[in-house]
Amino acid sequence: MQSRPALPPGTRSPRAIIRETGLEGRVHLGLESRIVAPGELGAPEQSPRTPDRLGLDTLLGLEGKATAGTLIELAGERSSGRTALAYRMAAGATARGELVAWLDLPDALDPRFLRRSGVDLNALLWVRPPGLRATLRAAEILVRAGFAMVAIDLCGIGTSTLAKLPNSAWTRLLHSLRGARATAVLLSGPDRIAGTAATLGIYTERSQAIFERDLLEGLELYASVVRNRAGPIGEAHPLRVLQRPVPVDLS
Amino acid sequence: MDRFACLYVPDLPLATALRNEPELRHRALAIVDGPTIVAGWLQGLTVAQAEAVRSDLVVRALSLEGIHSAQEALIDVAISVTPRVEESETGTIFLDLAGTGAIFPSERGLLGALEKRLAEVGLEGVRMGIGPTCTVAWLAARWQHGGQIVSSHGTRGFLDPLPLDLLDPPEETFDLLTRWGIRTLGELRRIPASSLGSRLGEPTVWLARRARGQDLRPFQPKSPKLRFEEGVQIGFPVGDLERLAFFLRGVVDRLTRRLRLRGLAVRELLLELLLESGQNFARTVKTGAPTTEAPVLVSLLRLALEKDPPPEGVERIRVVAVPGGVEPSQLDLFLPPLPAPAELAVAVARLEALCGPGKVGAPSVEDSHRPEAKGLNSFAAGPRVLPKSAAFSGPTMALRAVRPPEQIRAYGAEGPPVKIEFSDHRRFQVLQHAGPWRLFGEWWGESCFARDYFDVELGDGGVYRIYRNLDNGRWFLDGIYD
Repeated sequence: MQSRPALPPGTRSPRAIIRETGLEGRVHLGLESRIVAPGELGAPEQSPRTPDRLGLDTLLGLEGKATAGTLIELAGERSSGRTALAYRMAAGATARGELVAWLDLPDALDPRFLRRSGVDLNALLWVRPPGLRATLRAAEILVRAGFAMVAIDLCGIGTSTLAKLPNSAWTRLLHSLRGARATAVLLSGPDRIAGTAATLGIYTERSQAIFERDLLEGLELYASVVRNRAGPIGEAHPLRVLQRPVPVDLS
Repeated sequence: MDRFACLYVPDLPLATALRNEPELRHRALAIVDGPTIVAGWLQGLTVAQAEAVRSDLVVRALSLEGIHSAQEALIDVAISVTPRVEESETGTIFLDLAGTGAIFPSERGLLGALEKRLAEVGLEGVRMGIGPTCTVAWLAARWQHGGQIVSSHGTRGFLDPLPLDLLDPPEETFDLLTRWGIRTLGELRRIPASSLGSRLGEPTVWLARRARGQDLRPFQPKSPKLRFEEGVQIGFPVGDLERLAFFLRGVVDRLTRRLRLRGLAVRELLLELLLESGQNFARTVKTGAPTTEAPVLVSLLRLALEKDPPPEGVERIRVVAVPGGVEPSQLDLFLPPLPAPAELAVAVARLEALCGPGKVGAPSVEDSHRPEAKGLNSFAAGPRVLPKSAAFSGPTMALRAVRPPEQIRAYGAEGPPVKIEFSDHRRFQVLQHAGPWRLFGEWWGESCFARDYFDVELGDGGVYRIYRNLDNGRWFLDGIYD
């Protein structure tokens, strides 16, 4: 079991935050210590931006170079927004003129939503492998072929299937990624599967679904850094995943 | 000053067998047509007689498919040097060397390059010669072990001592000339053509002209064709897919070597199998992108055969390749470099071999009223254009498709559902919902559909897209928002 990280200075009590934001009963208790109040995010003492620092900016696809040679794992329960975050990273990569591959073991990719997320479909290779081992083999082929980002979707794959993978599988993939300066984004859930091989591990939790005027407007979620080789863990970010894209202020 | 080269295979059936099975190079190999040996060791004997002489004799059946392929490979090698190539007869190719000096400064270097390329396509024992005419080049290739380069001023010195039978004269003419004491080309050349013509007829005049190194007709180049096929006659029915793949590997390997010589790659493969009942069995395999990687192509063929295996044993294999060039790409100063098109093509083809056809490509949005409609285009990293301003936006909602849609049970009156039961009998309360919105389309055909869609948040924490078929009232789950 993973030990609970120490709270960064200036972070308020998780219980107080949950009480203030009305998330009681909706937030996973095991992740309490990784949640910070929305207004406090981005404070200099919490997220110093250094070139080799990985963090939640990666999720917005803003730091392409920083993620080269890394394995990023996005884990979470269903409807927690992990696929939306991976789509956003793919959109960022294609906007930079890079090639993206999407390994889709559960055959769950929807081209309409992918395009709506801003992904250039001509720069994305969709691969539907027949099994888990074929997925990893395909990932190595793609990394060696020069794809800048390889998304590996293993959401909903049974634990008995995943248990058949050797422990070294993810370490081997990470080694290939480092050699090729590529990024792999592993979508998993509900549990993390890459373990210590992941350079950056992010756990997403849905706080609520936004229904307004008889329409599903989006999802509110918390994304927490639960594993980070190049920086501290515990950073958390409240995010809204909406039906319509909302511009991000880069300043 | 004209210069010609000749590629001459003295025993094409034997060369074909060695091309198919290079490991037999140092064995006593005999090629049989029926009971008689027609090429290789101990020609003219029956197999039983030959085996009495040599117990270690290896016997292979004459393969017309293989001979045809070997001849095509010979032409490919010639065309890789010059486009002006003439196919004289089976096993003999002439090359017009005009203009090749820019690539091959010396004729010795040209012969070396040809030898190397012949080895690449698996042809061994091919003799080569260069001379001022096709006839001289042909004789230079046939004399001793070939490899002779005959200059214009040295032609007479080269031809005169050659034996008369090197010209393959008619048997009667050869006997007559030999009785007259004419045994070399030089001796035949010294007899005036008019005297020969009046005594032995026109064919002997032609023979005398060839003895002087003259061609009987002008050089007739053949336009290079872009059909590549390789085949093998197995000789016995093969029903096992593993053994069939063994033969396919050799055929495809030889085919890709030929394509590489021309700077081409395989875009599509047509596999033709002759079954033991005499029926033909054909399959077409498309590659994701042009490639010359034989293991990838064999994997694709094997996958196609595993999907739909031949009903009987296979006696003959023929593979035809539709060639395609690898697309060139232009680098950009402001964009990150993409993988080389050839490497990308190989990767896509490997993935297709790993995942099967129709599983690899660029996704596309179909022009359809059906929300689940999806398309797959062939993937090629073409010219890229970045958006004028990088408009970064927050993440937008994604839908994880459920394929095929899972049939569920929805509880409630005619209106929105209040409880959902999945196919594994898990039931959850509907906490919130949106909808319905009605979609119908394709009313002009049998695929007509009419559905009421809902977005629902369930008690298990998931947000789902479900719909009700209006024609039968059944409910389906077709996506999970994530």
